[in-house]
Amino acid sequence: MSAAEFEVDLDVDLARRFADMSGDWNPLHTDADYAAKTEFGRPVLHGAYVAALASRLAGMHLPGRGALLHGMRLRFVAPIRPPLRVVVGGRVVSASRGAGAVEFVVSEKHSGARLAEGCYDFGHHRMSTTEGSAGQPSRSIDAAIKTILVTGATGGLGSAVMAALGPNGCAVARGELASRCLLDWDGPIRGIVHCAWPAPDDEKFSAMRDAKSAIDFHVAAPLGEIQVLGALLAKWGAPGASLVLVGSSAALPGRHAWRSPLYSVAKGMVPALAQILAKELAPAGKRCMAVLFDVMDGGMNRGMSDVSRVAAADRLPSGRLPTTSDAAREIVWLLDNSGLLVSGATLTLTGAALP
Amino acid sequence: MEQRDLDCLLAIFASALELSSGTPDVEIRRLAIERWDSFAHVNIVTAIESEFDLSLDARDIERISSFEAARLLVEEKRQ
Repeated sequence: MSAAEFEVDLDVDLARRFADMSGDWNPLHTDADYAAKTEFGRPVLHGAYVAALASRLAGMHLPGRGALLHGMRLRFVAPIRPPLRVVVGGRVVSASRGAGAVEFVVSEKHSGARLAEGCYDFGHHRMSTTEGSAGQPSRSIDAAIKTILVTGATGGLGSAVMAALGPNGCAVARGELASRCLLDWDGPIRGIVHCAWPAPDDEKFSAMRDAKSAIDFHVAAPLGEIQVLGALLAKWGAPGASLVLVGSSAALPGRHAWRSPLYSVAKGMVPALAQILAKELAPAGKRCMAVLFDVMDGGMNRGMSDVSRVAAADRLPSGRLPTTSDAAREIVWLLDNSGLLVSGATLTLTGAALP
Repeated sequence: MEQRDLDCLLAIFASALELSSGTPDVEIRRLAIERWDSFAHVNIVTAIESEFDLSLDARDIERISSFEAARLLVEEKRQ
């Protein structure tokens, strides 16, 4: 069964925005002075916001694109009082003939405390597969097909890519890749941006405690995921569709001094895979490219120390550490380039950073 | 970092890189100063270790890429 998880920062202004949208201006949610006199001490987020989180889980992950919610049940376990970061995790507990049920939990990131739980039933909406109709000009396939799948869409780079793509982005959970259920995808796509990747390892290659598991997790699994995405683009990619693989400067010799050997090895596969897939996809007019970034602010570097952040920026002639949004813009630029010569290329987009 | 330590750190860079007085701190970056070669880098590292009574490992040494990075490194090592 598939599972998915994402994290959300709930800021203090969220209740006001939700009230603006829903019309529920109850002072328990929106008036700090009022809430301070209640047993909660400060404003409590609308419980119905949890329904919005469940909607995101359904529409973006379980089952994702094509989702049609049939019903939902919620239980509010504890008051949600922003600011805080929550984890929304769910799993498919039953599925057959295009319908299914998902159980989910919303918990506080820091303490792990359960805040809400629930379940929903889903089916799939139908989409016409015919282009144009009598009396109407048929659209060109490139103009009609806008969907771009983004893996790792809850991570730093993935979420920035989703933001840059706007409504055309469609999040894909790693669970869907691992289970290969994405191969059941049903509909044309314009591209795939593969950002999902296991976090870097930190063991010496020659002294791993459980080498087989570590290699499966850090090397074999990412390789298998790229195979799924290649198959997906081969099956559902429109002519001109692209698969963009995200590489890393950790695959090249540099100041990282191979501190994450399996991460470096796995990212080192990316340029060869871009060439392999470019060759296999070319007869159908589809492309595969790799982009290689260096250290950027945000994402998996969120916990970087001040000195490491400054030292990384010092290696750039611009003196400014790129953000995940900067990198996302480069990926969108690459997707918008319709040339075929770029297929198979690995673009090193490091801003001339020193190794 | 106290002003006395900042002055000491600045003096280390000024001496190793032969900086003219009044060079802004933000301009003291390895990429911006031609005189900052491997010999100068070693001088900076040994002076920081000596003046601030610190032991720097290979990763620390590679992170000294500017005056600001060195300031933050000294603060981090003292914690």
